[in-house]
Amino acid sequence: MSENRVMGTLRLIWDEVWGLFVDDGVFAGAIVVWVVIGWRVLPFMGLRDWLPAVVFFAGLAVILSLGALRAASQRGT
Amino acid sequence: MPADFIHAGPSVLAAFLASLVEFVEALTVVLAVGATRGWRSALGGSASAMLVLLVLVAVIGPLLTSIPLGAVQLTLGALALLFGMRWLRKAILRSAGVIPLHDEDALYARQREALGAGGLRRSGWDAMAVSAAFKITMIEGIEVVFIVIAVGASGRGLLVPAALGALAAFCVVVLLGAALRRPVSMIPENILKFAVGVLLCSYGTFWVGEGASIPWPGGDLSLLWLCLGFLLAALGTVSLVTRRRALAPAGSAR
Repeated sequence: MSENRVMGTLRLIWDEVWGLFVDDGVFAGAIVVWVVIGWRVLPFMGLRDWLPAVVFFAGLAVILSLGALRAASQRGT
Repeated sequence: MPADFIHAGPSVLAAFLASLVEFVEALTVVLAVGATRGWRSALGGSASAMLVLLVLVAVIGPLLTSIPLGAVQLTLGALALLFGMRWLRKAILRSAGVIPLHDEDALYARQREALGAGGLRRSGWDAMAVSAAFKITMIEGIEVVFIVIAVGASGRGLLVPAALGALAAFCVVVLLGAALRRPVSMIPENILKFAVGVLLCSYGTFWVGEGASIPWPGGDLSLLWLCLGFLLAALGTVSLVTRRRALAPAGSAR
């Protein structure tokens, strides 16, 4: 394989790997922000034992639903 | 032992189902390359990619064990969430009819056309064929490696069960491919992606919680209610998107 083909293949593989995690910046950004909140804020809020876990899950479920609704409306729904 | 089953069972299942989807996609392209431009280059390209993947696993595996467990859980949990929520959102959009279902037969036909069907079969090494087979095996293989690490690298000895799940999927797809000599299009891919998305989201949430020292009600059994919660959220969203599509004025859909 020529050098250009090799570089092109590596570039494409890198793009695909990045695309595994991020194909919509807003959606991925919301997940990352919520993970940071779950890590740095929720455990220190003095909530009851089980509440941080439930709040963390609920936030992710809301991000998932809103992300899907937003993507659907962007595609013309 | 129930605790072992609760950990290892979902890990094996998640790795098996997710890898099945990835290997089926890779098989479609490798079959198209082989049938169009020759099997030597197609299998050579795939084998080289698998060699690179094995080296990657050999390098990453020991590295993970040298990082503190909390940091591994937090990082892999976040990556599993990014990956799993992206998968689950796409599966929701496909179930609601917003984006078309993945069609292995159509992909096979497109690949064969792109690779120049008819008279282009070559007996020696063919750079284009090697490159195409290498690319698809590498791309899908990296996804499999990540999935195995995401569901297995928890410091609880789940890496081997997860890897065995992926290996089983590889064997199933290779056997099916060798027997059928055409794309494995009878597998309900979107249902699998839906299930794997739910499992990856549950694992990701659980690992982030563990890494962040969030106490889980029910301990490890939380994985069960997390799966149920994500499943209900996803099904509810499918219904919401479907209803909104039905209510949208005709002609507004692109």
